Amino acid sequence: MAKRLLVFVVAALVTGATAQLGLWFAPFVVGVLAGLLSLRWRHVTLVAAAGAVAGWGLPLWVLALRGFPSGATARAIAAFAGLPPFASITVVVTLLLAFLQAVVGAWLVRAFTPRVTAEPPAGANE
Amino acid sequence: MVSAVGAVVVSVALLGIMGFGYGTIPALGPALDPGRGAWTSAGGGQPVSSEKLDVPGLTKPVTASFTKDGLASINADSDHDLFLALGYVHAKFRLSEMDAERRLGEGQLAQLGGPSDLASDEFELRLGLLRTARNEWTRTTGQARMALLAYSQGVNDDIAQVRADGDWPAVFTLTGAYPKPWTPVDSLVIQGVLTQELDYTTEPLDYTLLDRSLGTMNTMNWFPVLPANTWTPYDTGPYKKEPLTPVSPGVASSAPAGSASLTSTASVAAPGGGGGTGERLADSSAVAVAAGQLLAQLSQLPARQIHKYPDSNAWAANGSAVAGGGALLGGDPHLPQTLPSVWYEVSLSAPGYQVAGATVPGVPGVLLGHNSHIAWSLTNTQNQATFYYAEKTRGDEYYWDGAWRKMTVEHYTIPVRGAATVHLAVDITAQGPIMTQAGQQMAVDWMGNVPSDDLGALLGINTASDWPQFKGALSGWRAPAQNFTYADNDPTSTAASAPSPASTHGQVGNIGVYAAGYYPQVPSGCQPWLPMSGTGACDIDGVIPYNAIPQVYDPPSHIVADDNQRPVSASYPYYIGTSDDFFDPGYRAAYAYQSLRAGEPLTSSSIAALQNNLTDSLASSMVPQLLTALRSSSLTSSAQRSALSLLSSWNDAMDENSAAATIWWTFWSDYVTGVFAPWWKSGKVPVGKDEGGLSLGAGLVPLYEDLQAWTSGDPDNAAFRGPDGQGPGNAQAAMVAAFKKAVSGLSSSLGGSPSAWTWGRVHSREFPSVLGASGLGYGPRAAGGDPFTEDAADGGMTAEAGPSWRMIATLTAGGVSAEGVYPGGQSENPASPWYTNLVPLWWDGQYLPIPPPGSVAGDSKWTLDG
Repeated sequence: MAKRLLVFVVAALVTGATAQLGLWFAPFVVGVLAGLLSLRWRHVTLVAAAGAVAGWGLPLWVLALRGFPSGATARAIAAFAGLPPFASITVVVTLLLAFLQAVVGAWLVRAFTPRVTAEPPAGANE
Repeated sequence: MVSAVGAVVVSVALLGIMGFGYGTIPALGPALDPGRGAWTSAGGGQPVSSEKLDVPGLTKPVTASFTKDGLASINADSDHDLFLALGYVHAKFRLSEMDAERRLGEGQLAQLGGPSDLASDEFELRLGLLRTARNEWTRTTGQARMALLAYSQGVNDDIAQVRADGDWPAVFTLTGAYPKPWTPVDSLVIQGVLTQELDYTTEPLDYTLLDRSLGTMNTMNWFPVLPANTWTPYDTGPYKKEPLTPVSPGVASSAPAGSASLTSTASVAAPGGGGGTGERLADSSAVAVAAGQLLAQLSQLPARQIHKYPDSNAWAANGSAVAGGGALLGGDPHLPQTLPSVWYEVSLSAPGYQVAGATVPGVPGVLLGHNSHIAWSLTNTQNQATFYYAEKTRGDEYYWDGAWRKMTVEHYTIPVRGAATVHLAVDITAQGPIMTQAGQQMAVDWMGNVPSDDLGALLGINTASDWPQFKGALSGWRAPAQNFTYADNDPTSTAASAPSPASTHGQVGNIGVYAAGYYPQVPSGCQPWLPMSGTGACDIDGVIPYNAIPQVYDPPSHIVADDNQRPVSASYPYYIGTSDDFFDPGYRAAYAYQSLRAGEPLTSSSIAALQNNLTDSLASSMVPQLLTALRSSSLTSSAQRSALSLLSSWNDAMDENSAAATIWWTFWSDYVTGVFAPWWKSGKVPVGKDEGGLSLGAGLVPLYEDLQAWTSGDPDNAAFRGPDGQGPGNAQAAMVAAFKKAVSGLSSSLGGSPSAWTWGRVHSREFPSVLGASGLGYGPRAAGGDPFTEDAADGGMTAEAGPSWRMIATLTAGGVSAEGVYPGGQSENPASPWYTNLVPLWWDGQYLPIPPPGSVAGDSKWTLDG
């Protein structure tokens, strides 16, 4: 459990911090790393993907906390993109992109690595 | 193996689409990156706070202060710094709008919007706003040159800051098409876009199709050069008849330099533009094909790109007409109403400029406003400034002035978002660019393509202090022709000295209108309302001289009303356009004169009341005749009797709660359609080629004028009998039939009692997003008004055009003060509190004081320092 929490936090911090640098593909890299880790730890892919989502959600939350009009901005982005002008659409699409990147990154690694035939029991390494 | 291939393909596809986009899908990765993507535009949505900003190029610190509503005031120690700061402030609040406007004019819109904007880009590059702007820049000198250079630097300072911070307006991040550095040519292109929107017209193309469908006689009877009804010109004469002024040489934006046709010795054209046929066109059917094709091409452009509605108001009063003396000026230009607005309100103060009012983002200087001595506003003159020529061609040559000549060819590349780059070659003849090659090569000679020192003129009136200076500054203004309505606070006013029963001591102020611009003339015998021969015989041979163009100064009535009506009477000795040239039918002008005279002595409240007035004066003249017709006919249903009762007690106000307004408007539409639709059907008018210019449902103003005139003066006109003789036969029968049809139609569509058919149920206003983003506009919201009310609502039952800015200036010996409002807000950022905050004020007919030049507008203050 602690390792999963660690993976979640690290994934969130990495994706959140790199987003500030414009490294939008960081969730994919996190996914690749999660794919490597998943050779040893079960469910780590989903945990890392959740961390990536949190990492991209964090700046949006901070934006709102600082009093920026993030809801109105999200609505405007949806409208400019030709989508229905609802803030929730932009938020969901943004977070979905982080999630998809992480999952696809992990999938890429798993597709090129041999399957582990005998995984340790759940919690054995915790 | 399959899984590996799948994983690679999906990974590459996902990262590729996110990194580079696909088709019109933007690069979603950088666009939605929460740290650097479009989300950062939230910063621009925060309320402005006091801070110090680094603005390179300033020689001394400049302050920009803001009221709580966002109205700006800029104070600088030099004119250079003032314009630099204005460019910076404009860009801070309107960079997306400015970039979109210059893209539109420069034919680069498809790079932002994709293939759907290609038609617009091709049209603009053919027409040549960019060529004209470049030409103008090479001729720009003095204050205008200084202002453009400083302004450009200010815009670029903001772009550099935004680039460094990554705080781009969302539209840039989403499209990945970031703004290039601003140049003076960009400002001149935006000036050209505004000129096009006010001045480029297609009537000769519509006349061509009407002529072929309805026949020449019916076309010219129903769409005559001079309208069938009466109107109220502000310039009643006597008129001067002087030799024409040659068009300025070097019209290289549209024609090869040194074109003899446009610089030849001029002669006076016959009144009405000549009456002969001129040189016959070889193949009129080919011309009709070309006209239809060009109209179809134009129909793909955004609605506001071509001039459509004539609804502006500008009034001035002085002397005994004004309470307490002094002068008053009211101005409300009616344009497409968008978010953000075309206007940005600002007060400017520097050693050479003390001026406030409405500016156009992208252009330095105040377009409508006041300084310490004068106030002014503009309405469109509506004269014909677009002439079409059917060229005689052979390969890449055209025949002109007795010889075959090579066309000039300009090449352009148009980047298209999500598609391949398009290459465009534009052929240019002596008359101008070839706009279509379908059926017949057709060139256009448009006055907006003549280099015009509009900015020099604008800066001149910004600093003028009396009528001679004001009028003198406008001598360089060529297009778009505008009625510049004027008032001053001159203590030696002729108005003060003119005897008047109501005159009092202490009166100051003069008023006037000068309709600056080019009014092109063609030789007698040519018909400028149709495409003309391109061989040289019908080339423009000059323009109406400066002293003879429409104008009025200190009229004895102490009132002038300029509402886009034909500004001169029928005896004016020059051609300025036909009844189909968007001159307002004169209903608003007549009502304004009547209302202003009745309201004397006038105050600013009188002007405000009139700007927000909803009286339809066409209804005032027609409803009594309708009632007479109905009372002598048999009304068979209770709904008809109820509708008659409502009309009988109606005050002619197109109020949103008025049911009579709905009945009137539906009746009038059915009256027009009932009389003319059989002719349209019989003649097979190709309405689909140009809905706005040919469809009866679009509100063809000349037909309104015809019906108004015939109903009272020619009730048995042949038009009432229809093409097959089976029509109602006279005006009275046609009106009764139209009324019954209107009641029947409204019963079906709205149901219930006629008293419940309120205007607001069928009529609304909408202010769409200028970038076309649905959901970022305002409305539709139930609203009063129609195209003929002073508070005009035009563009259909969901009106998108109307008062784009309302201003009232009060001029006394103590100075000039003004109040204004526009439907929108100072910021283009939809997340900003200043995006729509002025809309409720505008909607309720309220105004805000325009901060006086030199004042500190509010507590929020930027200190700009280089």
